[in-house]
Amino acid sequence: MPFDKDYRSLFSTCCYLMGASATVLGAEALSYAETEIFVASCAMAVLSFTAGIATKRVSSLIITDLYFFLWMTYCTLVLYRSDGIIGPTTSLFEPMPVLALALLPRRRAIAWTAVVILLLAVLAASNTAKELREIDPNIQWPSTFVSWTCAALALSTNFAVGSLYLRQLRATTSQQNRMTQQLQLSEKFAALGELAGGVAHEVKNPLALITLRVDQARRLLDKTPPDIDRVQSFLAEVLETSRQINDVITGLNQMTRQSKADEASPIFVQTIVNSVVGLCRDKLDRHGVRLDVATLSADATVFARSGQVMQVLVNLVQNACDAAALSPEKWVSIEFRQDSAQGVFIVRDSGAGVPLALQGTIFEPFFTTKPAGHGTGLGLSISRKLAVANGGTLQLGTPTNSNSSISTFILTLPRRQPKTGIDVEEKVA
Amino acid sequence: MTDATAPSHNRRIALVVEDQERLRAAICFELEEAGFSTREADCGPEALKIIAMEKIDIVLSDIRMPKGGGVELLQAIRSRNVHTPPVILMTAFADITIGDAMDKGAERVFVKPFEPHLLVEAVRDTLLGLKAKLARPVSAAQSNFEIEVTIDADPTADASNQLQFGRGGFFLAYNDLLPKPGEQGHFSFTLKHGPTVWLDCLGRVAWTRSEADGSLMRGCGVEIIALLTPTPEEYCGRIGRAMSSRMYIPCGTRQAPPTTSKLHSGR
Repeated sequence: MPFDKDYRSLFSTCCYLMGASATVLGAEALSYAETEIFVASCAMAVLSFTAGIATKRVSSLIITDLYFFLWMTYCTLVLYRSDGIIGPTTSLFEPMPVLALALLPRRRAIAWTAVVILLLAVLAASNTAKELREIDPNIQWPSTFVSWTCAALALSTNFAVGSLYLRQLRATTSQQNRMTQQLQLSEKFAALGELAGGVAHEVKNPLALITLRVDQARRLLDKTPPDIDRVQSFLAEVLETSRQINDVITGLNQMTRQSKADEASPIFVQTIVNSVVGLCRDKLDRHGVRLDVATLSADATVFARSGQVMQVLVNLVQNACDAAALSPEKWVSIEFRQDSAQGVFIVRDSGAGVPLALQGTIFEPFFTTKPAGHGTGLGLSISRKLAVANGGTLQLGTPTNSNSSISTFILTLPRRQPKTGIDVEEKVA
Repeated sequence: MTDATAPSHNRRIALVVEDQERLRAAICFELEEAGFSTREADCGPEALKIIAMEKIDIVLSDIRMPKGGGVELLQAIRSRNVHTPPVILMTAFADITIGDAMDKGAERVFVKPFEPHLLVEAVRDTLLGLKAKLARPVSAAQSNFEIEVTIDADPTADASNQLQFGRGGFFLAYNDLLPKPGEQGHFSFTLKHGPTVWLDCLGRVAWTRSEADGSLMRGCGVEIIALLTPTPEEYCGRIGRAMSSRMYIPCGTRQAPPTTSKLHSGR
């Protein structure tokens, strides 16, 4: 967890505890307090904030609200053993700063909060003073006033700070979401940048072949007699080469597709793998890495967003290529297996593999073993996110003892539309 | 020039280095149709083996190849012999600038996809030899622009920042509007101290550099395609010999502190 978030939650929890202590101390001064109130308050404060931090949602407001209501009621009952109005009244007012902070612009919210705090303080002071004098006529007015005003102030301040914290937390969360989205995008662009050169290569090479063959075919037809057989074979080459170009461009299109246009649907594994191979071919060639693709059955499908699956696979193959390039054997393999529910892509390479010590951290954002300027360290973390978003998983395979140097990544995807109807869009965001 | 009907032992041998088997076959077919014998290699090291065993007249090489690229091959060939066999590079991607490739000794760089007949023309042209190449008849209509430059000293004798010669052409540091790559133009160089026109030629702009980059100066690389002054014989004797050990076209690295002389040039 980043430092600033820790710091803020710690600060707010401290405020709650201070509030609780102030209240109890105030009551202590009146000899009405019991240790258990203090302990309960502390426990509740910690609990509510842990919940708040864990959920990072509006629900934590409700939890904290509920906590205050219970706490105040408890205090009221234990302290007075009567139906004093401080508990219920303040409980009524408590949500107000929270709501104000959540709904109104900051300045107006602060003004509202101040008014409510003042109101609470006055109410609390007058009521408690009155009631306490009824209970015990010996109690002095100033001490009652001071201690209970303190308590009310502390409570309200805490609540204000707490809700401010939550507001900030929500803002931070949405900002983090935005940043994560941007990072995902930039990771995609980084991958695309690396692919761009390869794509140019993968398109221009076949184009050169087409240009040559068409020109040659034309000349062969001009000959007398025309060399029809050769022309036929040249044209067949041209046709196949055109398809090859199409694969590469389609692959690039799929990868750059905006997530909204990229609907989850049954996708052919062979098409995806062909596109991935097309996009990565150049990088593999440049590093002299051999690519083995296990024969895929033509009808194998998975249910996912094709662009996202491609992004994951391209990332895995590129990583595998980087790793394999440093090894003497230099190979990368892609394999696909399926059962009735799941399709499993297995990407292996001849590289040194992920050291045992790093196996827990490789999926963390910004983790990279590549030198600075090479790779953002987001590839695997985003890949895993994308896999999960598509109802699947991405994990590191377990190396066998005999061949522990092989590193294997396993991407599992559902074969059919999940019945629960996972909202991929929301999960990714 | 050879033709398809020439007996095979008279044919010039072209070595085609390309990792894509089909493309290699297509290039070989093109060259064979044009009357060359061909040899094939799928990577640089393989090509070097063939060159060591047999006399190869010209090498056509791809740049990006998994088992050993074209640039390394070019450097290996040039480290053995400065001009033979000449090397034509082919690339599908900007792995290397044309300026760099020519500075490393490539005679020509083709960007894929290319016009098949241009490749054949380039191969024939390259095999002509400097003297024959420079003596080709050229019409004035082939010139798109004129550049006149006054030079301080004979660039073949002194290291100059203004004009640097290689065996196929020159780098001209040029501050005016640069011509476009591929354009042909008339270049005239006059010595500052002396009335004579030092060199008057038709040149093809091989590449341009519109901004100075570190020690690399702004200017263009020009391949000489025809001579007006001096005559080809004279050029080969006077300038060609001095240039023969140099790379094809220098890439325009700043040699010494910048000279104070002003470049008098105009289009």
